[in-house]
Amino acid sequence: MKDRLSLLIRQEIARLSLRSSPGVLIICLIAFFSVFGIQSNVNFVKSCSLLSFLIICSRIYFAKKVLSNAEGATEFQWQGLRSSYLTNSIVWSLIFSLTVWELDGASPYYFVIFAMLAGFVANLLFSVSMDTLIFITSQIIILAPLMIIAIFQSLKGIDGHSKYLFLAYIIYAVYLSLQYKWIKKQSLDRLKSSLDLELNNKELLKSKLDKENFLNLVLEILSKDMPHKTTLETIVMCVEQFNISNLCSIMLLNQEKTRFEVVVAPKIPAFFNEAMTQVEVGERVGSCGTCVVTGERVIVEDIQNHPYWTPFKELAARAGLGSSWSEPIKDPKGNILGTFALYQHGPHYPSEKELQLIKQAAHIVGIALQRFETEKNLLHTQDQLSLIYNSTVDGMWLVTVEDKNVYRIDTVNDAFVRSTGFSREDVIGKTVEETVPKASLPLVMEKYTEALTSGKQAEYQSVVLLPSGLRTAFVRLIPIKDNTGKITKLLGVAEDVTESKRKDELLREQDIDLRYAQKVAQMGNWKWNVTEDIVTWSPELYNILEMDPSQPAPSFKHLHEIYTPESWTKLEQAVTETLTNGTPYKIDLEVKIKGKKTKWLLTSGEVLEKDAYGKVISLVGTVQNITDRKNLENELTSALKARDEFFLVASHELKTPLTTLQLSLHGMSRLLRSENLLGNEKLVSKLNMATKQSERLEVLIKNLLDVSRMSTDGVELQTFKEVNISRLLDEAALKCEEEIQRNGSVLSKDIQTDVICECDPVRIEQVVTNLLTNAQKYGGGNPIQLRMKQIDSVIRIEVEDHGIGIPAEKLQIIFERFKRADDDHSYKGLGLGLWIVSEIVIAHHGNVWVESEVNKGSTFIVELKQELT
Amino acid sequence: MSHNCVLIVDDEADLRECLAELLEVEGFHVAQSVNGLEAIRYLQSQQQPPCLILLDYMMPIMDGEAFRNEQLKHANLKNIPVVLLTAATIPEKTLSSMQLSGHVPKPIKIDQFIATVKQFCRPTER
Repeated sequence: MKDRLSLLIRQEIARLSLRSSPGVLIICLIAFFSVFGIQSNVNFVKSCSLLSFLIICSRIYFAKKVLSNAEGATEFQWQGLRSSYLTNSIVWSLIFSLTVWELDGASPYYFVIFAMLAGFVANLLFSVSMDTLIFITSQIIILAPLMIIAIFQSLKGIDGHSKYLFLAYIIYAVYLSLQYKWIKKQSLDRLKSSLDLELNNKELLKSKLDKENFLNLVLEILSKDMPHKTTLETIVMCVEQFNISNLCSIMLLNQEKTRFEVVVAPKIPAFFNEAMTQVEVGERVGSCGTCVVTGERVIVEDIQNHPYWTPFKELAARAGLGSSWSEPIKDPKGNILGTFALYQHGPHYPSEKELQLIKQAAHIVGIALQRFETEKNLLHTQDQLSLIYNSTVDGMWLVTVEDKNVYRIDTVNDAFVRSTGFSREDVIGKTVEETVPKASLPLVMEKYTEALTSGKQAEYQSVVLLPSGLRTAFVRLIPIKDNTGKITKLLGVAEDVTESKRKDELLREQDIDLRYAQKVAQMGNWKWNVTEDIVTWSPELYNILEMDPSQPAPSFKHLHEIYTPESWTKLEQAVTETLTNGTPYKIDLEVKIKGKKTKWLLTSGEVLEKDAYGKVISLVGTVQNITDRKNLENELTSALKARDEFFLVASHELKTPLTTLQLSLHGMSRLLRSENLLGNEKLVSKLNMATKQSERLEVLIKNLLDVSRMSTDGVELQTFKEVNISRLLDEAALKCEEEIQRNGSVLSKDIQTDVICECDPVRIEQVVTNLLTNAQKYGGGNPIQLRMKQIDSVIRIEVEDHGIGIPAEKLQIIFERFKRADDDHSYKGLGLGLWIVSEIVIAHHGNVWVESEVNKGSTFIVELKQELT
Repeated sequence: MSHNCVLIVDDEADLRECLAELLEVEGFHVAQSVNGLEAIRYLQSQQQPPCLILLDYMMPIMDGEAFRNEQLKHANLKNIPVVLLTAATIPEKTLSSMQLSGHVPKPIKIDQFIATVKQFCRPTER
């Protein structure tokens, strides 16, 4: 087998030989006729030049043969061409040596020597190396000085013979240079076009190509960055070089492994390749179809007579395919990716070498495909990394370490741009020193140096003023080494902690505020995780209970040690209630601090979290120290108690002399009668006055007593019975009427008759009397109305006056103890009347209120239930 | 046959005098004791018991409650009706344990008072 490349080279050489031969023939002729000024041995030189002439003719013949026989010249012809150079060089060496022997220094022919020398050397070299460039170059090197001398000589003036010689040499020199150019250009062009190599690879062209170097060649091809299809085509073409009659095809399966998706077969007719893509693979479906299914080599010696090819017989014949050998292409895991097929025009069984070839080829295609996959994965990974780089929340930037303290920014990610406010144009290509604000620079540069020198990650936190504002960042600098171990790049990662820092500070402040608030309010809070029985207390709670804050909070059941027995019972009950029903509690409890001091606590608790079943997971609550308040309360209570007790005693003490006084007055009035002094008006009037005042005193003392009794015990209703309330009101009105009329006022009544009400008659009478007394007191002498009516089961009593009225803001407070609507104490009384009324009505589960307008009058309304049960 | 004598037991002299005068006008005989102890002594000294005892509560030496307890111990005295005549507020428990026949609050409502007395005593005709 002849490899294609060497064939081409040979053809090149043959072409060169043909071109250069005319020139050499001319030189031979010149030599024959001029004999180079050699005196002796002329015949010898003549015969040599003739011999040379003949050799050149044979060269021409061989070169022509080599060129014409495109399928590859026979070895004999090629060697014939080669040997013509060798023999020629021998001849010229003879001529050269003779000339040297003969010529003396003064002869003008000495430059001829150089020519002969050049010719001799070049031919020799070329016959050995078969390198056209060496052939040309050696001639030029030797002839160059000769040319220069020749030019000088011509300027000096030369004789006839020399003139021709000189001309010849000029022509030859020019011709050589042209040849040089042609060789260089043409051989490369041809190779380029035939092999379709895109790069000017002199080494590849120069190297001899044979079977053993095939693998190396293909691997070299693979290492070049060509489109995948081109790589596969190149492999196909390389395999085809081994034998001119080879037709190769790479066929790759689709994803589903049902048919051939890709067919790379530049030499096979397109219609055949097209047809191959339509075929569904399977056993007995052509050699390739079978091959990919079985995973084993398929040799079809004769397509036309093979059962596998029956459906494609005509197709194959049209494409000029006689035999087909298929080798499966597998990936490293053993999955079948496709097939490498070798076709020949005629039926042919492959030799061992040919089988080896397709096996190697399939293996290489497998490698190539694997590499394509890897590339794809790499790109995919690169895409993924790029995605990660740009979608990560932390700002990232990559710098190249150019020099100490010179770090140039290569790339930044989107997050960097967002959080710093720099645009990409601002930073990319600039150094770190140029972009970082001056204030932060010292620390930053220090850290970069640290990362660079230590080879380890450097971390720092800094506050820096960026276009986006003042930001706090936690920065990590990660050194990246190249494959020599030198740190060439640094990756910076910055976590913007401005927000979280701010939030932390805010939380801290809030915590301080809360603590302070709790301290001032003397209130602590607790949280109890019931399921895990973990309790946490706020610092103020520890303070209130005077316990050590460094200790964990005691669990619920340990609390019984600090609470008094009654309080503990109360608390247990309340908490159980909350845990079961989820209702919050709020109770006053008493604790004993360290067994001695007593404190009162207002404790509250409520449910915080429940699980999916509604069971309580955790409770929260507060504890407030209300000891002071409780003490005040107690003081107040005891003060009130003391006051009421005093009232009780006082009223008793006051009643005693009053009784005697009244009896005495009664006695006096009897005496007046029995002594017939009733005519003495002055005496009678004075006595009446005294009696009236004593009655007033009685009322005042009675009210005082009522007040004290009511405030301690509430109103004790003496008797509840069914009462004719209409009659009751009539009687009460009668009692008050006298006094009312004495004040110049008129009492009119509008009382529904025969209304029955379940009540305490004495108390209700008291109510009516009080209201009428007030009406009279504040009525300003104007008419007073007493009304009563029954509406459904409600009895409504109204007492209306047309006096000074009550301002709106006082409408509620006048029912309070000791309160009066007017702060002017010109109106007499203790301010108890309405309070008593209110207490009695409330005890009857009724309602009392007033409607009033200043300077127009007031209407007091009492509503009672007809039946109390 | 009841005597128409009313015994007033009260530490206030003026009050006793006024009450006595009032009752005598109405036709009753009146006896007076300054406290519970004196009242017991008086009652023991009499052959005929009074028709009614008007008893004050707050008295030194022996107060109303103590007197009543004492009175109930003596067979000859225990059936004499007792009406409490007082300005003080007596707890319900005490009142029921004293087993009183009536309760007249001070200051006294004269008509009511006379009516109460007449429940137990018949005045002498004038």
